[in-house]
Amino acid sequence: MTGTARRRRRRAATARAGAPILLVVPAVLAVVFLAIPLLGLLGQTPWRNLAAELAAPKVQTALRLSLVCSLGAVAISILVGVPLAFLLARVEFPGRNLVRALTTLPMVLPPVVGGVALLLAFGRRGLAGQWLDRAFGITLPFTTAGAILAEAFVAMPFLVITTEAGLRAMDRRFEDAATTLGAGRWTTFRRVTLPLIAPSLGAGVALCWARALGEFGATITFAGNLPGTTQTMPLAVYLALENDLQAAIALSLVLLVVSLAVLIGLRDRWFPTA
Amino acid sequence: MLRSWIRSAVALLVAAMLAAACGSDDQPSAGSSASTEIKVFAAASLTAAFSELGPQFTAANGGTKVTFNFAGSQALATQIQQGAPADVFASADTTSMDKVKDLVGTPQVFASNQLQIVVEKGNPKGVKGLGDLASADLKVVLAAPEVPAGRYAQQALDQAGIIVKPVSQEDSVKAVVTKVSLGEADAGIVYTTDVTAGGDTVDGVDIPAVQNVTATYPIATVKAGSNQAKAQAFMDLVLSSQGQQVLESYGFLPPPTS
Amino acid sequence: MSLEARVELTLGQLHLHVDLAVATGELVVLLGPNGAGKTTLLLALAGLATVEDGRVVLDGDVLEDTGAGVRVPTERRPIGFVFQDYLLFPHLSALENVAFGLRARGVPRAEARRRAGAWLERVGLAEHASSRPRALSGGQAQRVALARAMVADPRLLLLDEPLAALDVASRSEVRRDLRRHLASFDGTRLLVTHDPLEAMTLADRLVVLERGRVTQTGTAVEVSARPRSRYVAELVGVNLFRGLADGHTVQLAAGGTLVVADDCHGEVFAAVHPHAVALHRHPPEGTPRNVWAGTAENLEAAGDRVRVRVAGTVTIVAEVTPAAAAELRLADGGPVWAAVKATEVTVYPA
Repeated sequence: MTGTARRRRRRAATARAGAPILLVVPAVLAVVFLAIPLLGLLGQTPWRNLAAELAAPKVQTALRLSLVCSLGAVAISILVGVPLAFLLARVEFPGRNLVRALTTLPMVLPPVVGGVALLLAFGRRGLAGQWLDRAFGITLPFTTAGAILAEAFVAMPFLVITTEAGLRAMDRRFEDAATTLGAGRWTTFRRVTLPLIAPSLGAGVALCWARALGEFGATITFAGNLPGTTQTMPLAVYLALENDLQAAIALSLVLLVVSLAVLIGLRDRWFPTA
Repeated sequence: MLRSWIRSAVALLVAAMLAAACGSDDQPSAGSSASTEIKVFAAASLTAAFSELGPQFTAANGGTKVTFNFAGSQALATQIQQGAPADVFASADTTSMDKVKDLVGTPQVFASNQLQIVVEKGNPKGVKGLGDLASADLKVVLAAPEVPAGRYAQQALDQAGIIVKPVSQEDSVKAVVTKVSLGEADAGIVYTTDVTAGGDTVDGVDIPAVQNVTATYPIATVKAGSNQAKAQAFMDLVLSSQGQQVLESYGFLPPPTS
Repeated sequence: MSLEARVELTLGQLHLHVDLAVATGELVVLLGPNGAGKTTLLLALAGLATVEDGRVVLDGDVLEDTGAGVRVPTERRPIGFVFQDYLLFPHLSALENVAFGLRARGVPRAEARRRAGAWLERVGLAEHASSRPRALSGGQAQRVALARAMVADPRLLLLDEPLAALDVASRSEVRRDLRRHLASFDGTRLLVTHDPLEAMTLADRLVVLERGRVTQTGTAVEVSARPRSRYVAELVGVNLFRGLADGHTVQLAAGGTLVVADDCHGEVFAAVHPHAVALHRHPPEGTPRNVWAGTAENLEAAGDRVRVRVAGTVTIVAEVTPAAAAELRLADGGPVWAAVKATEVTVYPA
């Protein structure tokens, strides 16, 4: 019998023994607490007009922009985040703990604060921003690139943390085996390490994407709010809330469905069984 | 079975916590429980003026505290519609007040405001009028069309036949000032009172009366408020000569004579 | 083809200090108890463990020379390594696993797969080519691991306890197959095990490693006939003593004396097989020159014999029939006399 089948049998066997009522009751309350806002949203959804609402040009623009920006943020996160995760997991360098703290910082920082920090760094008068402006004529605020940057800033930590955990958990002797077979470091990484951490990496990418998709505070502060350029779905929902509740609900529903899908798809990865 | 179900619940809980931490930063203020406190929802542009009136009200009303919630009028109206606990609502336009007309007492106009172009200190880009804002070299920021100030600004531009492509539509007029004062944007259209309130960080460029738009500010007590008497007292203070003086000192104009 | 290695390293509590040479066509088995440093030595030869001081030369090519600062990285060493738990890549099929070494070295995909397929046939697993490692039995996985290590024609084949992960039932069959495949390999072979049976049946030459040092080397016959350490003596099942010889008497280091038939001098080992130890209830009369009193302790069944340790001036293990053991009432721990003929003592220089 394979390992996963054995594990599943063991899990089912323990569940049959039942959980203490002291845990079940609060757990049920937790589920109710979480489900009610979702049910409220579903209850208020204008089901009949939903298709029309979602087809509205403003909504379509926001949706398309959200997709472009979130995927762009994920791409950036993968390109620089995976190497960073590798460094943190494998290389002992001075200041490693500081770097790790730095990568988790955006996770605990209130997003608006993140946006302000980005402005101070990459704004027209910012630390790096003014050099970018003078040397290349590049300004990031008010651009789609700026929105992508803001989303990458808040979402990348998720990818780095998950990937680093995956790298630490994997059996490194597989890499030894690869070297004895003549594989250099890059070949080993590509053909052995990456496939072995694929589950963690996938989970990290999914979380990163979900976070980027839902980002609001940093985006509106740093990139601004302009339909078609920087008005992603969360910003559109926020502004629509005051005037066009139906559109706001429709957009919220889309975000909700996407987030739930990601989380449900990840449930086995979230708590990896040993 | 149960275990994986509990796991899903915990996962959802964690997600909700993350979502809450990352979600909108607007927080409607908690309800006023004691009768020695009133909540005033006021348009963002009234921040400075009302903040000065607050202590004056408390002193004259036996220590009744005033807590303010300053935001875009459209956002405040929505909050009141959703049942946020407010005693007084002061809006920057009649549209937002109309939205909640069933929920408030009879509104009264207490001030008016005019638009002004806000630029960086020293006006480095040499903006002289509305027409300059159409320039492609300028980064112009406006309030979103859902915000009263944004609506007024668009009105003025439409009337003058000027097409402006803003780089961002901020969710409150104060945010427009912030972007300009930070140097991120070159110019924006805000209220004259905002330019005054911006102090040393910004300068204003006048919009001639013929192009300008007058914003009317109505105020009303909220019917569901728990302290009608004190709410009315605040409204009276705003409408009184004392209140009018304070408003004037911040650049507001008296209510238009209808 | 040959290997000359001098390796010195420290890993935790282990201080490895080994001088090893493996000649052409010689299958050397490194035998030793757990923790002796056998795996560490293999890793050092593969370049996977840091050598503090040493020199490794394979077929005249220097793989490592700490003195000259030369160190060929693992991936460039012409080696094949079979790990104790095989470490077959779980995300690749058996065929892809075997082809890995070829593709890593630049062989085009099609040819790599063809050669890998040929090797799988050689080890009798052609029909499992597309199976994932988790679908293979222990013996099958071992064969894939062997094929994977050998497919790129390495000049040095290192095997770390290749049968240890198997259950006892499959072990003898796999051992036979392993012997066959190893025999056909024409490079240098070095196998590590803690199983004496494996060592005896596979080795051309045995090297005994204990606590990081080589204690003995020789053919299986030589090593069993003349154990030079308690570990080997226990493996072989022989009583081993160490002492100072002067003519026909050996003063044992642990106390007591042994009279021996051979004339010898200096530091010696003295070996006595348990079946050469006679036990009596009363002090025996007769020719045995080595007689002493003792108490019987620790009876053990060994096949259809009984082994009993007799503690006395000289502590020795005797082998008797169960009937004799009962007769002598050995189980009660009563007094007993042990006798060993001088001619039954094998003495050799230490």
